Amino acid sequence: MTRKLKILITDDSLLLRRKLKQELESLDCEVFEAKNGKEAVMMYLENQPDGTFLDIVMPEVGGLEALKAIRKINEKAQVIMLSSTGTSSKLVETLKFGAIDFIQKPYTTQQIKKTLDDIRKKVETDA
Amino acid sequence: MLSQYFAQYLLNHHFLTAQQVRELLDAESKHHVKLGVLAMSQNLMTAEQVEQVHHLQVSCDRLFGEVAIDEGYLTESQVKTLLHAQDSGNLNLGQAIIDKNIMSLPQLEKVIKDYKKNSNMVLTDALSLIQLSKIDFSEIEEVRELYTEYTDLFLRSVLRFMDTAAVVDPHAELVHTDKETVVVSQRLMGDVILTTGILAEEAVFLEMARRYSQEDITEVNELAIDSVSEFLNVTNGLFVVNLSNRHLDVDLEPQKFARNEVPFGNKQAIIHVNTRFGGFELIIAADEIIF
Repeated sequence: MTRKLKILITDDSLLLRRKLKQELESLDCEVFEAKNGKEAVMMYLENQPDGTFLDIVMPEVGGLEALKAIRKINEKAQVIMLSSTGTSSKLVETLKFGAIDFIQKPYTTQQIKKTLDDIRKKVETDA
Repeated sequence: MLSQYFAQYLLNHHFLTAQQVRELLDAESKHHVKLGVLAMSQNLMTAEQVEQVHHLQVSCDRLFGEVAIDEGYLTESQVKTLLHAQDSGNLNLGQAIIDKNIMSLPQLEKVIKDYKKNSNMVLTDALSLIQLSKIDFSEIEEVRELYTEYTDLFLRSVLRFMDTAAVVDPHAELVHTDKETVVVSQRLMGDVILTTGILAEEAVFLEMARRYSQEDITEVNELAIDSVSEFLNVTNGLFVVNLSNRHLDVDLEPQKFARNEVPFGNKQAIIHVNTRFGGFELIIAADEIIF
């Protein structure tokens, strides 16, 4: 597969979006950004990303609601929760609604790389 | 970290002023070597392993040595040896106290002995000295333990993410400043209800933003506010994880911020925190903070 992975990042934190975007672009991804869950759903519909990073705590529409909405749009959507509240109950809840992984902030480059590898494998399998 | 608690003890008991603590911690930090660096320098761990431990440490609020042992990178004996080597660095705080004629050797010896007997109560003692909105903090038993636990985690978080020791100044007079201030806050809701916040003059707030974001931020703009807010969010997240380990289910709400406002909340504690780059207020309330 030679095309760039399309990744949507959703977080109300400008800092996090900036850092994660830099990280992803350095790993040869095309990046889209959203500031909250409502924007995330709109961006998902417009761009059909290969993978989506979703924060949980956001104003207007939170990450869990966005996760449910995105999975309704595409039941194969690859959504990774990226949040500061990495409790086991939160992990179970997000996996129940279809997230493929949960990364607690602050993330490491290793975690992002591994996630992108998993996304790419799935995309290539489905192609 | 040992120096941070010792400095807290000295401040609690008026052996040092807040200014002296700040200067001494600043001087001491130039010689402080982290355990991970020590382990690498002795070829006990690789850089990747150290980074891995740092990440696990932050996300579960545990000591470097504990995590390194669990991950199989170090043995207990190796951790003890490294801590011993690190301790030699921490003695710089004591040496600086002698060099600046703040105490004599016999005085320092006595203070260190007394400190070692009471080292686990240092932060509790500091918070007990703080007036809680004109209510004696020691009377509010139901929040004291929670506030102490949070403050302990917060100070460690400042150390980890902003690379500075942080001590509570229990004797600080809260003065109304003429300077521009910024406050950020976040509410925790669930089995525990708490709101925490950071209030700082712009110059200190900016430095916090720079240190957390590792970006060259030159004014208190959206990125600066967001950086300090995100620091608070990550710290509160760690607290939520700690609470969940005790089967307490708590969620976080989105952060809020304001400029030049004095926050007000139920059972609110305003805790002055000193760091190398200046002081700011840690605010904890048992409910919403209004500003």
